[in-house]
Amino acid sequence: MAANTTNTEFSAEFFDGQTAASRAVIFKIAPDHFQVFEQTADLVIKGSYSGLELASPRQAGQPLRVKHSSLPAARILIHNSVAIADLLTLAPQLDGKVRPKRVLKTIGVIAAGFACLALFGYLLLTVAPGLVARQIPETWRDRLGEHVETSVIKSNKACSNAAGRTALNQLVRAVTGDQFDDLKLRVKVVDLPMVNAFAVPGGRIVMTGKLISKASGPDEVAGVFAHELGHVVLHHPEAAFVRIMGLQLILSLASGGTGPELIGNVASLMAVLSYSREAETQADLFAVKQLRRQGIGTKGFRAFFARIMKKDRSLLGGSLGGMGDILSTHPGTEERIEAIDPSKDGKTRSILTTKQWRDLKNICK
Amino acid sequence: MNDTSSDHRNLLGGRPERLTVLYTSKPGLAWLSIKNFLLGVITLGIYRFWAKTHVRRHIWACISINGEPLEYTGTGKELFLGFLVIFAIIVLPVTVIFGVLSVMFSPEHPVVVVAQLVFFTGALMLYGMAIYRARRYRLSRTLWRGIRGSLTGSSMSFSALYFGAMLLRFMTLGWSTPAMNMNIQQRLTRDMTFGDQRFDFDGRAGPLYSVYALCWFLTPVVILVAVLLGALVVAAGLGVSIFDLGDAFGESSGEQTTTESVVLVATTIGGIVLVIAAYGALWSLYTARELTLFASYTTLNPLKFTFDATAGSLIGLWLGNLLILILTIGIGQPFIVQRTVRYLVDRLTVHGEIDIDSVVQASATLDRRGEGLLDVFDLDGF
Ligand SMILES: [Zn+2]
Repeated sequence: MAANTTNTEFSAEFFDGQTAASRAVIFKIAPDHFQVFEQTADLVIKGSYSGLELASPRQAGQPLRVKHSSLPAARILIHNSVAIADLLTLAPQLDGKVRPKRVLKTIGVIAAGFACLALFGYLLLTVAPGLVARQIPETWRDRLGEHVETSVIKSNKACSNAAGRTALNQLVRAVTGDQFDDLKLRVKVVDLPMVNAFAVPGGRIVMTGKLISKASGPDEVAGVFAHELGHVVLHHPEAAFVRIMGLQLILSLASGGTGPELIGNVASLMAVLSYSREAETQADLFAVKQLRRQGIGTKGFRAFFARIMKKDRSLLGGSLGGMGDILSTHPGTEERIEAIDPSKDGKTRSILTTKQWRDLKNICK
Repeated sequence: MNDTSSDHRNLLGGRPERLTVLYTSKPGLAWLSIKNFLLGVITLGIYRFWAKTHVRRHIWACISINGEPLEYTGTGKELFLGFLVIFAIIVLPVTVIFGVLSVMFSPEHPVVVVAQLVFFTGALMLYGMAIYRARRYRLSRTLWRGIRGSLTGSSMSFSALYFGAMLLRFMTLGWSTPAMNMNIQQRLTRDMTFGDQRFDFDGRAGPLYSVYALCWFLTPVVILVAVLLGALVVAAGLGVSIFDLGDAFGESSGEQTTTESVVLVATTIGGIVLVIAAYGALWSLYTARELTLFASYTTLNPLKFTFDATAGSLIGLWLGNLLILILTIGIGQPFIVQRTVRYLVDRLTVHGEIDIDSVVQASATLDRRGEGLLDVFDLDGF
């Protein structure tokens, strides 16, 4: 229709947002602005077309309901179809159709929101755990460790054969030297029917009886222990716990649920015991360094690792479903084994006598 | 006042009119449902605030009073901000506290039990507040002829009333329900305004008690009958007599085939549905009576209201909604809202005449944020 006419007047209906009264008004269409007049010729609104917005979705057989940014509470109802057509050519945003620009803007907002969420999630799951883990008070760390340890060990007995314990202490001392006294290490062998070892918060390290019996020498056990010690020193178990809490927060953000239920169950505590590949590599590096520092050969560590990983997969799992530490089958196992290079060892020594080794082997008897 | 010119009528106050409320469905809800579902999936659920807003905008516009539709002016951003605030002040601390407690104590430790009790009670106490605030938000975002609704009371004191009602209901084995429901409805109605016009609610809960007693005493009978019927169906499905059922469920029949166990599971689920359906059908008698009575107690001076609810129509509404929910795996949720709103609108009649033009906007300030609490409790279908 003719939008190029200089001035077109139509009757319209007006709600001023102050009273519910419907007022009959005159809607004047000019090329660059519109005006709304009372019947008494008093001006009600004068505004730009770009400031107009649909107040309600457009509907066939219904007047066009618009509002203007200069008077957001007011509503203008245009019944006349000629007026509607004229207005639509001047304010095309009123056609109620989806605009590609708006869709793009929405997609942009969603993408930006996602980027923020992803960044928040990334920080919460990767950076924060390491930082928070160091701040956890010792008593908390200790309680957490106790809690996790019991849920892992369940009713299986801790091996406490006296001669075996003495040999174990000797081995632990050989690896730690006089360092790490502040960690209050507590090393246990538990009679579990699979080859596995765990570092638990609070300086607790658990090795299974089967791991000891499958090892062919004290250096192999020392290697595994040194690896777990690495996790303890680097606060990996605590960080894993913080990570789970972060994950839960993210889940509740998405679902809207409160959910203190997820945390504290055994399944999530189990997840504390499996670490990222990066953490494993760090623990390996630590182990190799510590073994060399104490004059213990890394050959046993490498050999045991390679043997368990490659051949004896059948030994994995059991009640922990393969979720334990050294034996969790991360990708990159090859590289981890390759990274241990015994040819770089310095002068090495034997850490247990034949009798002590036999005692350690019998620790669960 | 004696001006006869119809042009000036509106400026000087109009004549009293009757009000007709209509629901006229509009196309586009199916597309909206699909779009909301897809965006919800893509955004891992964060889109739900905008989804809700778009559905409300659509449905509000379908409701018209004397030809003029309602307008929903809320935004997804407001709902999202409301949720974020609640997330920061409730969800985050609660998660951290329970995380720390689970670190420090075993699950059966008294400290954990007490903390859980405190959390549970706190949640129940906040429930009423959530309902009230959500209603306040929605009313303040509902416009008719440019005039807002509002809810003007304290959500704290409503929350106390709501919590008290829950406790009392528990202690009286349900017998306080009609009286307390009436109290709650009275509070909600008396706090509600349209512009400067305040709703009122007056009446007694007495007329509800005969039908409440009927439902209360029939509940065990209906459940028993439903269970027996279910058991018969299970028995028929398994081809055994009802007296052998013990064996069918017991481990003694070791050679139970997979078909038999499938039939068993299917019929058991069917039986449970039957019990729930029977329970719902029985209590729809009470709900219908309550809806009708509460409407008749409500006034917006000088308007009076009647609502034509029947048990049969309520059951139809619920079954239809359930069917939509199941068949569309929840994607059709907006249609459930539409059916429910339509039920309410179609059966509501407004009596009396009101001078609409004289209604003035109330100057109450608007909440900036949305209904955060309610989203956390996730109890609203709208
Ligand atoms: Zn490890």
